[in-house]
Order: sequence, then C-alpha cells, then structure tokens
Amino acid sequence: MTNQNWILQQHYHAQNATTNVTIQNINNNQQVLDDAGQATWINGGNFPVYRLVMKLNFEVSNMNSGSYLIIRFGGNSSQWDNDVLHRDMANTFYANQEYSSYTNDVGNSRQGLYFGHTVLSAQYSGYGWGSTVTATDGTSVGSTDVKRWANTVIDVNTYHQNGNWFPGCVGSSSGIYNGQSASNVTSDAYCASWGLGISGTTASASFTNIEIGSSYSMRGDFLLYRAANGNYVGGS
Amino acid sequence: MSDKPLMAIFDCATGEETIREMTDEELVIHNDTLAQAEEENAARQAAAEQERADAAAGRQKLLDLGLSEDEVTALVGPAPVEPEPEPAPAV
Repeated sequence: MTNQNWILQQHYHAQNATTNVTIQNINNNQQVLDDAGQATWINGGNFPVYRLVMKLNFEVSNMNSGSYLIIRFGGNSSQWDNDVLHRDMANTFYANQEYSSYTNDVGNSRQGLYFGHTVLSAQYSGYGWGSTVTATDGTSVGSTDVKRWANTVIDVNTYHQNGNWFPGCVGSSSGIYNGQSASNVTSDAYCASWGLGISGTTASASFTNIEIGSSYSMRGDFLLYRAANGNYVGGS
Repeated sequence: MSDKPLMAIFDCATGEETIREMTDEELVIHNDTLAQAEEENAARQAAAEQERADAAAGRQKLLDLGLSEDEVTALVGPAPVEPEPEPAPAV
C-alpha cells in the first residue's frame, strides 16, 4: 500500500464516566513514518485537519433536562465565537429542506463548538426492550442496563486554514432521544437525531489540547484522526 | 469522596491517563453552562408550543369560514401534531 495522508493519532477509551475529557499534547509530540522510514511530526502545520469521532453513552437517566456538549479545539472558553449555526430537530427532514431550517445562534456566550441537547442519548425506560435477558457470557442484563443504552456517534471535522482565526468545524451526530420523562410533556420536537454546529475561535491554530465537556457523565471511545498536507503515513 | 463531576485527561505525549474531580472554578463554569442549557431548552419548547397553537388557531379560522378539512389541508398542510409523551416503561 502506498503512503497515505490520514492517521488515527489517538484512541482514548473512557472506561470511567466523566463529564470532561481532555486529550492533551496532540501536536509536536508524536511522529509518523512513511514507507521509506522518513519521520514527520504530527503538528498543526503538517496535519492541519482534525477529525474527532466519538462513540459515547451519556449517563442521562432523565431525559427531561437541559444539557450541553461542548467541544473545544484549542484555546480557552472566552476565545470562542458566540455565533454558532446549529440544527437540532428530531423530526425527519430532507436535504432540500435543510437550507432554511438551521438556527443562527448569536449572543449566547459559547465556550466552544456547542451542540446543545441535540446529541445526548439517554437511558430511556420507554424503549420497550422487554424484560431481563441473558447475555452470551451468561450474565443477566436488565431492560435498562447500560449495555442496552443507546450510543451516540458524533463526528466532528475541523480544518485550520488560518494561523490565527480558523473556521471552527462542522459536526454531526446521531442518537436515540425522542421524548421526555415528564408525564405532562406537550412539546419536545428538538431532541437529538442529529445536529451540527459551526463556530470559530481567536485562539492560535497551534494548540495543544482538545477538550470535550458535557453536562452529564459520558463514557465510550474517542478517536482522533488527523489528515496531512502530504503523504507522510506509511501504508505497509 | 465528594460528588463533584470527574474529569479525564489523556496525554498523547506520555500515554498517561489522569482522572480527577472538578475544581471549584470548573464546577462553577459547568453549573452555569447547564443552567443556560436548561433555560434555552425551556425557551425552545415554549416557542414550539406557541407555533403549534398559532397554526391550530389559523386552521380553525379557515374552517370557520366554511372550508372543508381537505380544503384547509390543501391550503396550509396538515394540522400540527402534538408530540407524544413518553410511553409507559417496559415491563
């Protein structure tokens, strides 16, 4: 196989439920080798594209809650733009309907890419998964056991084309979340399925950390991919 | 052990994982952000409810003018559907 320009830089598995995950020292600390043995540093100059794929469970037992998910590629909370485009209704829409249905969210102080309550899946007693079942290893799995919770898959891409101000990112998610636990619910059209956010920051593109903050504890897998401006990654 | 949320830090340079509690300062930011999210959630739901109420009222006015259900639907689309509450827990 020929050299490539993509690499899975880091896979972090969060076994413990935490509300925040920081992946630090992501630049100038790791090298890749091509098939000729040529080494290249993974940094913002050589690998300007960041792709963060997360397969997560959020420990939300009550769906009738406000919630947030913030992803920050570098910088601190005050350095991020407060203008976010997001789309978050759970109803089915078709591509030719989307152009007019996003929200331009200006004036709310955001601390990074903000996904609101759109992406959090939850424990949900109404899934109708029935009673306790026996897993292949012989263990008993209850109807609301974490093994039967819905995963949310979140995919975020950023391209840092400027040295100082970069155009944030585009993200998407999919989750199962359509309803609330409150008995008197009359409206909940805005929860999950998918959402996207676009934002920007004044922080330098030469950053060191990616921070993921959630209103609720989460666990699962965080995969950080990088794309390079050359074929630095050996394919053999 | 307190009830402060946990934070995980993974260092790509060393491969080390650190899990610690939030600091007091981080907890303030966390709680403020959560309060903001709850406020926005309530505002969105209220706006959606109002939108459905307006649609229903407008539809009724057309019906009161003598149009049939099919005619109103042809003009303004189907009647707004109220979201269903959570179904009963699985047994």
